[in-house]
Amino acid sequence: MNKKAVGTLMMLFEVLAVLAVAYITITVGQVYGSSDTVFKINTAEEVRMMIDTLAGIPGDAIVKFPYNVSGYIFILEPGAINIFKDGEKQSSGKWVTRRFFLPLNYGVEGTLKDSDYFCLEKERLQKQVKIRLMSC
Amino acid sequence: MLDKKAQFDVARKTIYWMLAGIMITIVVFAFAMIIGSYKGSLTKVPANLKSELISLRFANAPECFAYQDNTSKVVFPGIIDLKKFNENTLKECYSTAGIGGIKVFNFRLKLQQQGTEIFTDKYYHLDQGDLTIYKEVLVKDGDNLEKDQLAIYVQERIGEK
Repeated sequence: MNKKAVGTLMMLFEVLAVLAVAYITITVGQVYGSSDTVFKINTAEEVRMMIDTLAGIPGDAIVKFPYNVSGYIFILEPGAINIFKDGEKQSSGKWVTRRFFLPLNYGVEGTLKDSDYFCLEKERLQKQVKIRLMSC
Repeated sequence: MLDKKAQFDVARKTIYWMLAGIMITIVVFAFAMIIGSYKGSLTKVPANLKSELISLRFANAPECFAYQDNTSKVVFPGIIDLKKFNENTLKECYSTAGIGGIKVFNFRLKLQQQGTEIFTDKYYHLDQGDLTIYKEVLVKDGDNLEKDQLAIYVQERIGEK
């Protein structure tokens, strides 16, 4: 191998290394700091606090979430709220889940997709109390 | 064949890139940690707000300790039914045992005048003074109605301040 070839190879390697570092840094930045993740976490925390508040009042109530949530999917299941975007798999780690603890006679249900706004409704039935997530 | 100077150049660059590789890895990890910490600060909800909202139920919900008239079914928020103020009712009202319970809020509830004290299922006396909540309540004991203070001592997740 002559000196010129080695020099060219080293330069090529250096350019590739710089590109790789730039790519990795941008990817890491996107994964950790996307506003999408922040929105999902904040919304899930808000929903959890809304549910805790609904459990803390004696009567029936309905409350509207004041931000546009179009593009997100919500699944309210016993003990947890899940928020994600269409096409995101649970195993991808992109779902945001927040857990909550309600009295034993409480039931929660509701899914939301393709809706701009949602409401949480608390309704006291005969022996059970239902909290529903629905479009509004 | 490379001459001596060219061999030295290759060796020098190899050492340079080894050191640069280590430094770049450290910088990328530090960058990720800074962004992660910034994101954490953007999404942090104060613990006292969360514990306050959870503890609303203790004095207001009939599933917990709020007094409910048997005939009319009217609920009286702020009036504690002493018959209900026990750990069985507390388990039905707020139970964290299902997920282990040590990474979430646990509570110690004490009626100051009565001296009665109850705990949630994973409470280990690690309450934080700055998270303690005091509520002025009335206690219904049979036909008697007495003024009292409900102290709600909060234990955040174990291992965190």
